[in-house]
Amino acid sequence: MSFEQGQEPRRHVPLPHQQEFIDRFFTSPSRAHWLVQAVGMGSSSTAALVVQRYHSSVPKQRVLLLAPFRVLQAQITDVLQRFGVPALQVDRYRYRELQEGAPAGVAIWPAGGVFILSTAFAKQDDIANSLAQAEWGLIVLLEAQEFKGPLERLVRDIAASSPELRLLAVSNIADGDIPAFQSEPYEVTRWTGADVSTQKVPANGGMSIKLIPFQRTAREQQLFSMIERLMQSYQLSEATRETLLSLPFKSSPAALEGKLRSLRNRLAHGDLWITDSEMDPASEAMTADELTIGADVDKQQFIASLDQKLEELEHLSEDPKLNVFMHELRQRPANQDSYERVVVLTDYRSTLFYLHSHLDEAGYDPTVVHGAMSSDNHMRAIEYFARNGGVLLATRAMMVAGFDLPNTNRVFFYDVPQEVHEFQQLIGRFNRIGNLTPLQVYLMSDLEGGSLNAVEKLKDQENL
Amino acid sequence: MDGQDPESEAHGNSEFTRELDLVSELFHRINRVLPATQQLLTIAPEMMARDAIALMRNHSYSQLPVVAGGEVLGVFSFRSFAVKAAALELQDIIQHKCAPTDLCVDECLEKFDYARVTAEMREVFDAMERDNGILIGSPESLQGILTPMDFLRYFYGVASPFVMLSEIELALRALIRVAVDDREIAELAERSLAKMYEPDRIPRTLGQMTFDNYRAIITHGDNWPKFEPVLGANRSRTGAKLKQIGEIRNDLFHFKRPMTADDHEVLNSYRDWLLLKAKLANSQKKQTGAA
Repeated sequence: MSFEQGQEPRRHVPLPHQQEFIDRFFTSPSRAHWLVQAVGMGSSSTAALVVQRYHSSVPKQRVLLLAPFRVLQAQITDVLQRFGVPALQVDRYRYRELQEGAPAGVAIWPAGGVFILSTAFAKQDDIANSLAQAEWGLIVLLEAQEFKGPLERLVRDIAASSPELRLLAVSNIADGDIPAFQSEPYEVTRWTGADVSTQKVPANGGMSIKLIPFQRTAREQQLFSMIERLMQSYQLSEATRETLLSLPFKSSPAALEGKLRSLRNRLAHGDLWITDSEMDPASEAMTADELTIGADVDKQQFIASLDQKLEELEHLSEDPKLNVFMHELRQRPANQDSYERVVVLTDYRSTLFYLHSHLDEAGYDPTVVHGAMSSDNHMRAIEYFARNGGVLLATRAMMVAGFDLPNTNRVFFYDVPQEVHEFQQLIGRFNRIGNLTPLQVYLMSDLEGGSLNAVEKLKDQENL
Repeated sequence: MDGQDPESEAHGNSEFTRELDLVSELFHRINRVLPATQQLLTIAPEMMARDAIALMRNHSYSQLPVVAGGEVLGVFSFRSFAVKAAALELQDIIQHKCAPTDLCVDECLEKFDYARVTAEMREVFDAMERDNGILIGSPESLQGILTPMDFLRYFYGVASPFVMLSEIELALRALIRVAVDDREIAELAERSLAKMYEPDRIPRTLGQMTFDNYRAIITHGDNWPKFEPVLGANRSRTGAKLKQIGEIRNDLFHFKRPMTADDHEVLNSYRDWLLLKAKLANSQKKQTGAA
């Protein structure tokens, strides 16, 4: 499946394995389907196509989609709305208006509606009760392996009150069994690269991983140690020191500075007084727990000491990690043509803007994607990159699911994930089924970090 | 299950949900003031005042709706209790052998007005001023309780990004003026904004420039030595901060998305950063002046 510069990105044309599944979903006597897939097989778009077909065939039935991530909810909503399905994301505000609009004795959830809820919201007691009191035609569970405990009970209650219910559960292969939400057994479909390749869809172009080592300067290490001692002396917990110090330090001086400035601000002026309506996994805002310092600590002195360290941090001009990264970015694999797509992933928005500043100056004109963008800007950035290539800077949280970037040549993990399954989830955004472009993955590895982590140990492996 | 006729057009079609989508998103009404995370706490009429007061103190609440059989009877508050207690005479207390805190809450009720979630904010200001609170929903379907503190938090959340951005922008302009004079500003603009504008359209005064222009001028390699004394030692990180502020500013002023806790944290932190730079510039100016 070739792709040329300037070409419109492909928009959800089902691949043969997707179409086969959709047809089987509607013709099989089974009402409960479980789609188990390797990452990158197109399960989100398949789920959206199932909803579209169901809604067009029975427009008066209610449809419920439950997803754990805000990004995934937004993406599914966007896909459905492009398909002409009037999907509605429901949070607490929308729910109140639905309540107010419902005549007495009538279910809150209007018939014919397609409702997308986060799992965090759906499992709240009053919402779960309300969902279980309505009769549903179709329920779609995304990342179904997460549906344990209250969520499992919720889906069982919905199944019990909805005699005509069809259920589609989607999960990843590595994550074991999902609960049986109703007595009827699942019809299971498994998608792996091998399965799909038997349907005459070409396998992907292969992937290799390269470790890019770097070493912090003596001055950086010294400053880090001084800040760490300061945090310890002011009785910040170990978990907080990791969040505020160790992990940002591994990312970039900008990330470390950002976290320390946030700490300073909270200590000096109190809590933010702002809370988001739902916990956003992409959020970097610190919690009140993270800011607990010892009761007998002199806060003003701590702030003064922090100010001093921030001033010293500002004077750190050398960044060996950045230097090594820029050197590697400028290299081009031998088989590379002039048109390439490079994605750089980081955990921190401050690192992202820091890299943007350097890449911009170096003439790259990078595209940027992160959690604090409007969905319009987000989609525009992804589409621009998909069409024109170049360098895309993105925070990892924005790559959890739903946004595909096939035909990417190189992916730099500026911050390396700790867990292999996190790594696989992210790689699945680039290593899509049918994508023929070979993918080179780079892991920026801190030599002072001691032994390699589980992801770094995948180095030098080919064709994963 | 719910008795509703699925063919009914009065309730439950896609037009309704589309309309709901727009109105809910675009307009600031009572719904947005009522915190999404409010945990509504109600009490039974037979609860003793002493226990209700302990509960209120525990949760830092000033009032609690009193509910029986799913219906709101009224509100028990510090005020309603004080009014009742003040009306008791010593004889009553001696005769009934009970202290005011032994009263049941349904003996100390007051009535609050109700508002719909779709009501406009100013419709409830009079009731809020009179009663220090308002109930949201109806007696049979209580959705929440709104207090002046909820309004304060809401308006703070909406207004504070604008206030902070104005502080940030004005501080940045002031620091630019500390670093360079008006003639130099025009020269720096010529150098660093030439790619963005036609030659005769390059803005040459701070008042004509956008925030992004300030960033371009400050972080231009040839200009940076002039700004390093006021903005710190690190050009790339200064540029990154200004870029991030610029993005938030653009999204806020063009109403592209709601501001999140992350945005507030970033703006607060960078406002602090500029405040410290401004204080330093001020003290250096005084020292120079004194010298």
